[in-house]
Amino acid sequence: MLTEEDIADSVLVEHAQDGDTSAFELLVRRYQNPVYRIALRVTGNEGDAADAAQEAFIAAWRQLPELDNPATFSGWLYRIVSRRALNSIRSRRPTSPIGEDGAELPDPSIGPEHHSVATDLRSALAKALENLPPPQRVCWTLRELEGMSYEEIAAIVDATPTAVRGRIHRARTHLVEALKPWR
Amino acid sequence: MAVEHTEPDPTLDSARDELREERVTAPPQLLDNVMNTVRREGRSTRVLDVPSTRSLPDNGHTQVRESVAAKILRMAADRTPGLRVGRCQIGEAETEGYSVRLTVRADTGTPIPEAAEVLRRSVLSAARNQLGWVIARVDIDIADIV
Repeated sequence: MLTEEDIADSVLVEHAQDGDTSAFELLVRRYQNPVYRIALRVTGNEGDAADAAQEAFIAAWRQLPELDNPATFSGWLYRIVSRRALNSIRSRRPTSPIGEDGAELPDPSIGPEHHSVATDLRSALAKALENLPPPQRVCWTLRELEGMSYEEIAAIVDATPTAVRGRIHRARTHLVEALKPWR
Repeated sequence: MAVEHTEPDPTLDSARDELREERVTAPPQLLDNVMNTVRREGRSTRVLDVPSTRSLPDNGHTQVRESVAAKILRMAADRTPGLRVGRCQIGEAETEGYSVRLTVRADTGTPIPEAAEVLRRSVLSAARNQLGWVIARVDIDIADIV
C-alpha cells in the first residue's frame, strides 16, 4: 500500500492537471517551505515573501495543464515564485532605478554603520546582502543559496547567462569586501 | 567579455553555507490561503451527464464534473497491482460510449499486457457501477517504468 509520501510528484501533478484539488494540496504541503524560502531570500521581507509564495502556488494551479513534462514540476514552480518575488521587489522601489546590469553601488548613506552591528558571520552576510543592488542580490542568492544554473536564473531575471554571471561576480566582490573584518 | 576568475574566499563560503543550511518554514496560513482559492476556482472542466436509473421516474438531472469522473475512474484503475495512474482524460461521448485515455507508470517487471487488461476491466466496471456510463475504449499510455 502506497502512503502519501510515496506518491511521486509526477503522479500528483497529473492528477492536479485533471482538476484534483487534493493532489494539488499534497504538492503545496510538499513544496511550501522551499517556495517560501526562495521568496524570502529574494524579497528579504516576510510579508512580501508570503504574498509571493501564495501568488506563485495559485499561478501554478492555473498554469499546470500547460506543463508538458510533470517531472519538471519543482524547477518550474521555483521559476514561478522567483519571478513573483522579483516583481514584488521591483514594484516596491519605483524611485530607485534598477539598471539592467545591476552595476550601481548601494547608497553610501545606508552603509553598515547606520545599521545595527552584526554580531556573527551569518548576520554579517545577511546585512551585506541587503546592501547589494537587488539584481546582484537576486542572482547571487538564486545561484549560491538555491543552486540554480546561470541559464535558469537568466530566464527568471530576463537577462543573458553572461549578464547573470557578471552580476554574481560583482555581488561576490562586494560580499568579500563586506566580510573582511570577519577574517 | 572576459571570464572572471573568482578566488575562493573561506569566510564568504562559510557564511554562505550557514545561510544555505538555515531552515525556513512557510507561514501556517499559506496552505489554507492557497487551497481556499484553488478549491473555489477548481478547473473549468466539462460537466457530463449521469443517466438516471430506469427503476425511478426521471424527475431531475444528474451531472458530474469531468474532474470528478476522472478521479472516480482513476481511483478504480489505481487498484491494479504494479501500475500507477497519472492522467485520466475523458473524450467526447460517441454513440458507443466515452473513450478514456490513461497515463500510467508501471513498476519494473510488471507484465504490461496482463496488467493493462486488469486496469481496463476496473475502469469499465467503475464507469458502469458508479457513473452509469458505457465506456467504448480505454487507451493506456505507459509513460514510465519506476
